[in-house]
Amino acid sequence: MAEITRLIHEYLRHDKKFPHVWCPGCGIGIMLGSLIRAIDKTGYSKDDIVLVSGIGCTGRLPVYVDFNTLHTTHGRALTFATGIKLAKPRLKVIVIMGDGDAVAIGGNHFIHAARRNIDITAIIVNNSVYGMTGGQYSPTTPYGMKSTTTPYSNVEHAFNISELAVTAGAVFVGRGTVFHAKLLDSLMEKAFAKVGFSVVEIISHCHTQFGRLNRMGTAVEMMQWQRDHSVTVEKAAQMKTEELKDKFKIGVLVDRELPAYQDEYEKVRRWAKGTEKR
Amino acid sequence: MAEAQKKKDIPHIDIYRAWCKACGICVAFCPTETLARDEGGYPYVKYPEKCINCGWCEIRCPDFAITVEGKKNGKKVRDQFEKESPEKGTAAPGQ
Repeated sequence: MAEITRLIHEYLRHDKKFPHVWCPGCGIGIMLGSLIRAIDKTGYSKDDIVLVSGIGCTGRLPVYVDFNTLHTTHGRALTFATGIKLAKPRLKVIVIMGDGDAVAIGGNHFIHAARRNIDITAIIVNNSVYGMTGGQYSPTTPYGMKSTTTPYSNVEHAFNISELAVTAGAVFVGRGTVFHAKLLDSLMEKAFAKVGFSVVEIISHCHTQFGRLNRMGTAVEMMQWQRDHSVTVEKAAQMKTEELKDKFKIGVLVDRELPAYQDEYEKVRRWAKGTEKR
Repeated sequence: MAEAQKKKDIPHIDIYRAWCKACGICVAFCPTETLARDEGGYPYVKYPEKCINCGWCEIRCPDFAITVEGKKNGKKVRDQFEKESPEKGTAAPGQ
């Protein structure tokens, strides 16, 4: 049996819901493959993993995986996940969000979860647009690009999700693209191993909405665009600022140690009970 | 016989048509042009002998519809052959 067949049988609800609902060539499918490979490598038991999602194309993901799953309201995936982590700190909580879910409607939850440094892994699929609802512009739609609600041009400037997470205080921030699927595997693996708020931003494509309106072509052409416009962090350090103008960095952006929220909270509980002295 | 041995080393590519949505990613990013698209846009194995078992079609398939079974099979067969006939040596027949 091929390796991927074993993973499909073990981690996906392959006998119920497949083929999945996403468009032909959608990056979320590639990201789902990376997710199950990374989880398989980390060696967590299926019962110890909770997968939380919000609304949007990524919101469909928990339907296909065989973990403890939770499909929550728009933008509130991180708040539900915080509750789960505090109630059962032994569980590994993974949150799957889209760009609209994470930094538009749930933007406040995102920065505060990062600031609080609670032990959650946030996986953010950034496709620059609200794909499922009809291609409206989102906070990550680049300046000058078209969407159904900005038919001439987007006059707002885009969020940089990874840099936002770094500034807000996440302990691990990685960025990958769905073209570099093996890099995604390693980024997710590192993020799962990290104690604290870890973020993996995945640059994906929405050829159905964003690509069609901006004449960026099919899924294949958009993946070629990702290949041509991404530079690894190591390579970017040797390049000049002008060369990096229309490129984005991929790889591990931040990896640091900070005390995690649930451990600190446990300490406070022990102090309050009097079982441990300050 | 040498040819038969070589054939066993060719990775086995399996395309699951029920899940495939004909996006063309596997064909576009195949480094050796092993795969090609038919009239409906679905992939098929055009030159199986060209496959180098890089596995990128399997990794990049968003629909889990393609699997590449590596050279393990060929290796296993070869190992078995070696185990079964240790006296005869591992030299290919005809040498």
